Amino acid sequence: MEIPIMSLDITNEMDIMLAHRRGMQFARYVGIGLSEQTRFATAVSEICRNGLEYAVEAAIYFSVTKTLERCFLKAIIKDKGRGIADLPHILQRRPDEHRGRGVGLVFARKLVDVFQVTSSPRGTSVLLQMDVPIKNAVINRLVVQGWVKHLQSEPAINAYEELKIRNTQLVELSDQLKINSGVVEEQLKEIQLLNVKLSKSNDRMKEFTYAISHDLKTPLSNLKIASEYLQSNPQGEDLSSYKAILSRSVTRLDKTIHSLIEILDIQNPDKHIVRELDFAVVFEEIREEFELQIVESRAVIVADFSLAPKVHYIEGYLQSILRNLLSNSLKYKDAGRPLKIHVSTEKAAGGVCLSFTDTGSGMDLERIKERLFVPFTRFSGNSDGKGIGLYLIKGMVESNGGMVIVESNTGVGTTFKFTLVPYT
Amino acid sequence: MQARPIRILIVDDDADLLFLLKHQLSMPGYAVELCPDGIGCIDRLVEHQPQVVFLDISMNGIHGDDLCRQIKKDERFKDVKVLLMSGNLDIQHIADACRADDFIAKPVTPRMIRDKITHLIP
Repeated sequence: MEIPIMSLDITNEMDIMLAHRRGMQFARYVGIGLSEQTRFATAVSEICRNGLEYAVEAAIYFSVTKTLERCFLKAIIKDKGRGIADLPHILQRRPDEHRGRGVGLVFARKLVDVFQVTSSPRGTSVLLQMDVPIKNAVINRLVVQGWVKHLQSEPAINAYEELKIRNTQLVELSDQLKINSGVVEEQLKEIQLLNVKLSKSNDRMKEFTYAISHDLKTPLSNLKIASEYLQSNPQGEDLSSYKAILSRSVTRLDKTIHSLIEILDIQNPDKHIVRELDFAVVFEEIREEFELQIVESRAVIVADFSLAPKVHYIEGYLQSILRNLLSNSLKYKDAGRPLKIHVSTEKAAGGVCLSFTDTGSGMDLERIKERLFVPFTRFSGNSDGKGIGLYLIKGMVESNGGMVIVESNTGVGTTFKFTLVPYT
Repeated sequence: MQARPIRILIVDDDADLLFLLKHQLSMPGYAVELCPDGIGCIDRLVEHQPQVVFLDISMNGIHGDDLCRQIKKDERFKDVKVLLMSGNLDIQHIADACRADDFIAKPVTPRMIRDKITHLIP
């Protein structure tokens, strides 16, 4: 259903202003947003200007078209000029390549949802159409009559005021665009950061999945081979080695499953109690857990947290970090040298740097650095370790934006530096 | 005349698996040697001159796929068939990348080893 709204003859500059104003008003009445109102009205004034400058008897016809599902605001500008020569070529050129009537046409086409132009030596007709949000489209002939009646009671257009109004609207629109652009840029940055985080998380998950599958499949494989052989009931053989393998395989599976539970437990958000932690207090609690090993190894431990005594952190995480580091230092001491451990903190950009240095056996980082934080990886014959400690504490630190740096030399010792970013 | 046994070298850092495979593969027709890590592997290849080598990928120290590349580049071992062993789902991709002759997905059994040998050394 097509509902005519009003028409205007375009005979002078003031008529162009009036057509622009009506374009804004009708667009507002049908419920289109401010930026779309301005686009529509600008397109209207461009084409009306073309009609005034390059043709004769130009006029604009505003209407609303409604179907069951859609609604459009239309402006058709017609003239009885000599037509536009080479119209298809004009519409294909870039805006900066145009002169005269071409500029207005190409510009207006970009501003509206539907743009159609037909031209012949008897005149030109340009359709400018904007989609109307259907939920806003409580529009019928009665409503349209109300608009027209309202407009008829408006005061006559004042050129200066009209320009001032248009200028204000353009400035408002420009400000709004700047804000939106800033918001979009912020959101893009956030998306990029989330992408990086997600990608790291995916890599860790892949690494973890592979490692756990290896540590489950290996003892399972041995169990299968050993049990199948035993089931074949071999006679006259010493089967003590097979029985020992069965027992060891079960123990390994048990350890791996416990490690899995530990990993899942650490990730349980219910256990993430954040509070202000005193490094000296937490470290002393952990140190007491290893009192016997410290005495046996005659390790000398120096702790200095004076430069950054506290941190707002998950208590379980800090305990885990210090426990793993102390445990590793005691486990991998160099038999030929006294073990000295130095733990300290200092303020760092974004948080607190926790340093943990020992004079243990050290590591050949060149050889193992890529696997240092891979779960279930062990680097020595010491099979007591489950191989998940470093993996876990790296995950804890990095989950809040922190970092881990390792320096180590065989026969010298190892330093771990953790940047702990406080939780807010 | 009795055919010469097929010489096999198994390289894996899992001592239990090495014991089980050697025990169950040691039969007429196979001569099995073991290597508990990647570091001594090349020396064992020179010493025992196996026809088939089974390499575990995830070993402490040098990884099986790196070892495979070394073996494949070495003229001395140009006729040696190399198979990778792993529980990694990407094992085929890893095997292709290091030009292994074949692969076995863990968990392995002695029967799987025998089947692969039959396929590679007809």
